[in-house]
Amino acid sequence: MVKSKNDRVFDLLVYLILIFVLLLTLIPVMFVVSMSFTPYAELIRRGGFVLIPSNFTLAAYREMLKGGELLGGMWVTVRVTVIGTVLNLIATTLTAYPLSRRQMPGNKLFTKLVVFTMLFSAGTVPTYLVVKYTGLMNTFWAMIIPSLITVYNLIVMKSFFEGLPEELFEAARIDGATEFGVLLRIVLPMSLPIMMTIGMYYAVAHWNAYMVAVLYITDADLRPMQVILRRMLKTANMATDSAEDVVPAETLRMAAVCFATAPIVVVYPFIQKYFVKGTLAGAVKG
Amino acid sequence: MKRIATLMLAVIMLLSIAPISMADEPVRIVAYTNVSAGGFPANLEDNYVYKQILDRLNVALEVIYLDEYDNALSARIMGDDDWHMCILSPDQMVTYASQETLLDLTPYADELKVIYETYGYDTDIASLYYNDVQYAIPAAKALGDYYYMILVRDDINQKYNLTVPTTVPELYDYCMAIKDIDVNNDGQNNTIPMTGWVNSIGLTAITAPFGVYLGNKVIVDENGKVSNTLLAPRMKEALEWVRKFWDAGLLDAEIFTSNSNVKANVIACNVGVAAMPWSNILKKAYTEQYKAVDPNAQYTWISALSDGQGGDPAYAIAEYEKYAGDKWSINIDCTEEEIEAIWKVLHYFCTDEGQMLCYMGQENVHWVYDENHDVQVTDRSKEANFVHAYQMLGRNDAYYLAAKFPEAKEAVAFGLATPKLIVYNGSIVCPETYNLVDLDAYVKEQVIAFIKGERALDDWDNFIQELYNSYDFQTWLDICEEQLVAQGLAK
Repeated sequence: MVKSKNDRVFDLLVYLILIFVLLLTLIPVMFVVSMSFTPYAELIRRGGFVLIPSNFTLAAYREMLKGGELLGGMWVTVRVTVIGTVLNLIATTLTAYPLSRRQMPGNKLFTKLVVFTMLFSAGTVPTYLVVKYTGLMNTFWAMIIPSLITVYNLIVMKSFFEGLPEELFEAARIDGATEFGVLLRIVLPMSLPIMMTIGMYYAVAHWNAYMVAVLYITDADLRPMQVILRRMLKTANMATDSAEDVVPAETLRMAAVCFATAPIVVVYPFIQKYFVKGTLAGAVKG
Repeated sequence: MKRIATLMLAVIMLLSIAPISMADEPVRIVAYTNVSAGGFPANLEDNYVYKQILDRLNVALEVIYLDEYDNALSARIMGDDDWHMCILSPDQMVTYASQETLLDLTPYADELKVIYETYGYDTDIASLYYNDVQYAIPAAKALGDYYYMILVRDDINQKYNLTVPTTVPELYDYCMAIKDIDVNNDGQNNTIPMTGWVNSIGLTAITAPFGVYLGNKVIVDENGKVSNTLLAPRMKEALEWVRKFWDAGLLDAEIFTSNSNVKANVIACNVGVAAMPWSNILKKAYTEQYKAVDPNAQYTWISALSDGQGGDPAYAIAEYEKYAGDKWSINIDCTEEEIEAIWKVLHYFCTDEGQMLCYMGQENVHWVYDENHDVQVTDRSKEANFVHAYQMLGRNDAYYLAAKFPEAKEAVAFGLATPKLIVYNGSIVCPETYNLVDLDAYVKEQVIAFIKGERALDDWDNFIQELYNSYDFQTWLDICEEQLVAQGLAK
């Protein structure tokens, strides 16, 4: 079909707007990445804004990885993220499923109790005391168990389960399936989008976990990446002995942003298709 | 029979050894700090300060840095954690002392005397006390950042034959001349004639010769009476000059907003005059940074300016808050043995060996004595960057800074020798009933409005009246007077 002149103008306008929006999102990302590779002298000479550096340096990354502390922290973060997310999903599913079943006795009461904790949290000190007296202080599990179930995620998952056709459950029961069997064989295979979405929420939360570690961890070997990055940035302005060793705070900050976000950015496209379905779970019912 | 005798002997030996080994157990002291030190060893085994104290005193002193200090410390203290010492701001000290979590130090006068004598501290510093009970151990704030200097570009002066200013009017003319010069040779019109540290500190280069600081600072006048910088008699004169600099486009806009941006401008070599602490530009690392931008650039400091009307020169150093800042306190739940161990550690930091350990690191590793018994840092000195976290009792800056930063030795000596406008805000503990934060915020906002011409200079008296009417300024003055008189710092 031959497009009219008006259509072509309209298309052009759409392309221009899209290119503008693309630049709006791309330039900050480019700026962050470029800054992390730009030598400080060039950065200063060019007024602090460099999109394409004429010289590249890995000084900021070398400074970050120096001594292996950050890699150690990253290993802690990866373990917390993987193990934590798996446990989060198991615990959330095992709580959300019974709450989604109307025939469960006390269903409404338990749901209200769970929602109550979302509206009125215990606060820092009581939670600290619980962590302390359960012997979790300064342990790997302190970064996982206190946040094992997030009520918001639980409600989203519960809504998803409630949206599944009741006939499926009845058919499974007629075939002799137990409640656990229904969950394992019927519900979970149908819940991939919500699992991926909630998993992503949990994984990002674990990846970015900072206050939990600040409050409950003092052991150097258990510090996650975010805490180590924060300390590096805080001490970045301290003078060292030679200019070659000096990595300015701004460059280091940008390298830290790249380092901390890269893994999540890499994983995200692979689960994006589930993410859209999952986030709409429970939004439209009936 | 022989076997029984052997067994009994073994039991007796074990029993005799057991109490000795118990007695030899080091006493563990956990000290929470907010001093973040680059290169702090991740493990105690790699921490030579920890090991040396353990070796000398049999005390396992674990100095633990807490991220998000206020929140983390609060959770630990309220959470009944196992801690012995913590560093507290004066306000925090009042809070925790009122909650009866801190040890009353009054019975430890003899132990404190050693510290007072070694470091030359006064005993009547208000910020050590709450309700007349001493809860904090004195420590002088590191003075390095308080040596403000007026820095000019030596290379520009020589290249354009500029005369170094000696009065405020000359500084104005000097900045006007700089304005038309491309000081960083980049072919762009981006020269900033004058910049400086925020919160009016940089502006004291202009205001100090008039005896003025543009903010709420407590001073003691020549008659020993408590006053406030906002009530300085020559305030309007000083403000007029600052306004003149601003109106002529001579001041960096960052002088009101961000020290790090001010520093970036100085390192970018596009400023002519910078009123800022020497430590942020004259240390070797920063010198090399600005030299990387312009190899010819050379910042140097100038002497105090006068008002141009025959008044005495006054240097652009505004703040010297002796004993201000954070100090260490002890947990009320410490056992006698732990308290004894704490005093052992603190007294160790009063010895030459202990002081050098927390100033410079290990002898013959990070520093050596030369033939004149002067301290010389070694190539490995940067491995000792973290030891300042152990300066629990403060430090002798004249000695420390000159040894640690030999490149800035002259600047340190100049800073120490130059008379300063001494302010006493740090010696005053503001009661919870007075809202000092609101007062400071309003003063800061209005001072900027006066400088930028958003408010007429003739309106200054009305502004002061506003402080009395809306911010209960008289109460603040009375609080300051009462506390400084009580401390013997004013009449």
